[in-house]
Amino acid sequence: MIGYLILLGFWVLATLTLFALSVPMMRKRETKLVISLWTALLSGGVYLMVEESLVQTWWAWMVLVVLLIGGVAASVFVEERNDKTEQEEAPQRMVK
Amino acid sequence: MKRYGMHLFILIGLVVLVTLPTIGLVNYLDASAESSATYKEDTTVAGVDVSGMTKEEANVRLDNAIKDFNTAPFSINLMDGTVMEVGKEVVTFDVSNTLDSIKDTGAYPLLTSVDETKVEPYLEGQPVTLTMIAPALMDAASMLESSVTLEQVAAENEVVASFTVSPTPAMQSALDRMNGFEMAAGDIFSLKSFGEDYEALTTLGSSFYRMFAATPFAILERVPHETLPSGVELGYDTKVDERSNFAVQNREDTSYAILVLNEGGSVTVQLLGQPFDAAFEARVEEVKTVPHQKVVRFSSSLPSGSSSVTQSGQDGQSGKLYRVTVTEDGETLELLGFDFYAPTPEIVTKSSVPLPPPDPVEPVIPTFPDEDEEEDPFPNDSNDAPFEAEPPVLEEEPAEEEAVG
Repeated sequence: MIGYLILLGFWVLATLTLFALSVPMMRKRETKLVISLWTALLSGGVYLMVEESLVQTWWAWMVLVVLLIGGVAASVFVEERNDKTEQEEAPQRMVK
Repeated sequence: MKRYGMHLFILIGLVVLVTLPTIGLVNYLDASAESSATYKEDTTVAGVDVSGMTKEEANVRLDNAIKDFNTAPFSINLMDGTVMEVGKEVVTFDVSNTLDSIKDTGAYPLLTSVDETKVEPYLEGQPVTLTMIAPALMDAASMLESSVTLEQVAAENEVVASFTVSPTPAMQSALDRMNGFEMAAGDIFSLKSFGEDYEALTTLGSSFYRMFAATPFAILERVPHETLPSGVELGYDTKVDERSNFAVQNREDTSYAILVLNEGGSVTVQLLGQPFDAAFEARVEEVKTVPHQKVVRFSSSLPSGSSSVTQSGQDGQSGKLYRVTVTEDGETLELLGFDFYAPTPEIVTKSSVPLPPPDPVEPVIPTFPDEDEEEDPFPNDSNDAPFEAEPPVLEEEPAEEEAVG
């Protein structure tokens, strides 16, 4: 149990670092929030694998890879969603 | 696409930054906690007090105790009062797992394993089996005790059947092979598997047949001779050769072992195991004697009037061997075998040449002395050699003969 508390502490540190730094191609706070939450999910999964001796099982790695791809897709989606909205609004202003 | 790569890199980096320090820190805390933990009061392992010790300290203490333990061999008191020794190399200890398993106060045995292949050489010629001695060795070694007593085994098992023989060297060899042979439930005892000397196995077969007949073991194969061998009691005849064998099967729920005890010139074979539910007895009944016949043959080679015994006769006999099961309800008989030995007829050969006819008897004519003198022309000649007398010689010389033509 102590391990999950330590994990939580390191995750908090990592999240604060992520929000404090200027990350290229990650300008939105929402994107950083998604990345941070997904980091918590994946880190918990990896730690669970180690604790429960699931490192040798292929399906555990499969779940991690799917989660990783999903996290990247979600963060990119959040990052690009606002960009498209801005791009759609700009031409309207040009017409006026 | 570049954005995807950047987000993937950042996500993986964050996961690694969070996970690796966590795992490392947790392992460090666990290791430090283990190294600093001490065993509680009144905690012993194989009689060695490890109270207040850390695992490392207890490990060193137990290793030293095991070294002391290994200096002398096991001393095993057998059921017959004899003592045999077994080297300590047959046991191995798992100290680490033993210490890891300690969670609370108490007396813990050492986790011990016995290498049965190393024990077997010590059991040659000894009246014990591996299954009898291995648990006792493990129990003793787990408490680092060198003295083992098989009394408990003897209390559970007893000799349910036995016989004694004076073995030949070939029989002794076969008996040595079967010493310690164990028959688990359903196992088969095959006499042929213990030797190649069929004569010795045949002699042993009769004794084993007699022993197993008084047990609930199933007689799978038993072949009698054509004639009852000398020294074998009717009903227990058993033949072992290329085509015949003696085999029984243990149909009890527990295992039984054959022990061979050498007592000077004789050998006692014991069947050791749990007592049977009922009493068993072997009984030969309906013993009958079949008288032999007399056969007369005629031969022309024999002189007239003579006869001789070509083959002496021998009576045949038969008998049935029953297994008698004695219970509270009474006796029940089970027919195990019916042995019949045919009689050998007596053959008398007589001459087929008829007797010669008797010589005719000449009538005796009475003679008188006077008549004999007158009638006898050669009174001085002997009658026994009448032709030996010289022929009469002529006085006159014969005239010369002239050649004719």
